[in-house]
Amino acid sequence: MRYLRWVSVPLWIAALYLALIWVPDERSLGVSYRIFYIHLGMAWTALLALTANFVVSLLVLFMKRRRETLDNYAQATAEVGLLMTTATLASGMLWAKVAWGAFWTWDPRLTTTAILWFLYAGYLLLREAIDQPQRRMVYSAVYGLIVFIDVPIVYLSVRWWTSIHPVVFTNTGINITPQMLIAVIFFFFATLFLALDLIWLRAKQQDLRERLERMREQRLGELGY
Amino acid sequence: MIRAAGWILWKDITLEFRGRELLVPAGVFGLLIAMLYGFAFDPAKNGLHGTFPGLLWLGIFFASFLAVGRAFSVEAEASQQLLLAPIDRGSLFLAKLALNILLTLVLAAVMTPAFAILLQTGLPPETGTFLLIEALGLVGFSAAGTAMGALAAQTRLRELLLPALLLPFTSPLLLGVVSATKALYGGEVAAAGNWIMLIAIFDVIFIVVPVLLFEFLTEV
Repeated sequence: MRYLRWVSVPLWIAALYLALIWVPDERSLGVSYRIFYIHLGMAWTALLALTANFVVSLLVLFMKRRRETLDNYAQATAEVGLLMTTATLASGMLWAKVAWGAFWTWDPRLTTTAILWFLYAGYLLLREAIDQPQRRMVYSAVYGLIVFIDVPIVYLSVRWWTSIHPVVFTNTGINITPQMLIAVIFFFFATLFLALDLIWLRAKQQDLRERLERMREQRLGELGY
Repeated sequence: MIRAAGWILWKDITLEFRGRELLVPAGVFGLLIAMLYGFAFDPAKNGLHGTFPGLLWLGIFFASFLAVGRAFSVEAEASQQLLLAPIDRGSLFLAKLALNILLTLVLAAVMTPAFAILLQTGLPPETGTFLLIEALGLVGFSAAGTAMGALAAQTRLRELLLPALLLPFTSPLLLGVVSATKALYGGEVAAAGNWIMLIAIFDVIFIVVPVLLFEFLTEV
């Protein structure tokens, strides 16, 4: 796993080159549309990370062994998922300002992504607020499951809601050419590998922290404290 | 399971009758919201028909918060003695859910007429359908609130954590009840029907899933 970086760094360089230099400007949006590549990569990675959080939460509840390790991955996937969602929202808002003339519209995807952000911010708040490790593990897994089930309902409701209102801004002028598709794919994998690397690092760091804690307690016990 | 749930519900209702610790503060808060909306939005000058569904439901949700958040905190403060009882854990969840549904229904029964009078909009036409929306909406809010309340009660922050957990979670429900109520005012009963379906789906899922998962919460 420590070799992930050897994949993700060249991928990032290649993806940045492809998206910023190799692909030509877009007809109506000009240079600004290049943010689309990073935006899409981040958005897909965010969804994958949060889906991974759901799977890990299920495993935490139903597996008998190695639950502590899984719990570390639950924390890591939620954090990286939230980070990627934040990046998706931020890049999307910047791009929207240029392309649509406003930072924010109540488009179904924007709205759903914003709610998604709050749901997983809640997840991390919940983890933060429970001190006892066993309880934190189970409670956050239950919350993770319930929240993930909520996401499709959120999307459905938001789409209905906005379809009743007139659509002010539409996403026009984006036709994916083969060249663009290559840049999109490169950026997606670059982001994905970065996310995998971050998740692995974070889970490992948590693991080390717990081991250190245990060793410390053991040593203190030996010394009679 | 149902019998045990009934006894726990009876205990909580008795407690509420003796102490009036939930409904009175939440009800006063609910009426206050209507007053403050009246000051802030000046219904005499600006007709509030367009925004009334949103104002009403936000008001009901916020006031319900006060009641719903307490359901499990009282048990946490009593050191979880109820868990010593030889009963199915799901019945504890069902009892708290029933309590929360009752509390929010009473709150809504007080708040809805107050809002309609103070904000000078009157109740929506098709009152029967509106009552159905209120009932289904509050069942959904109570279900989500009971589940999240069970989680929040065991944290350091207790009910303080509840808004951050519950409000994003119930956003589709809020959209559902507000849009359905709006559709009734606009005379679009068919559109309201779609939203009522969505609310019902939300209700069923978030009653069933927490009941299934509740066992895990009581183990640790």
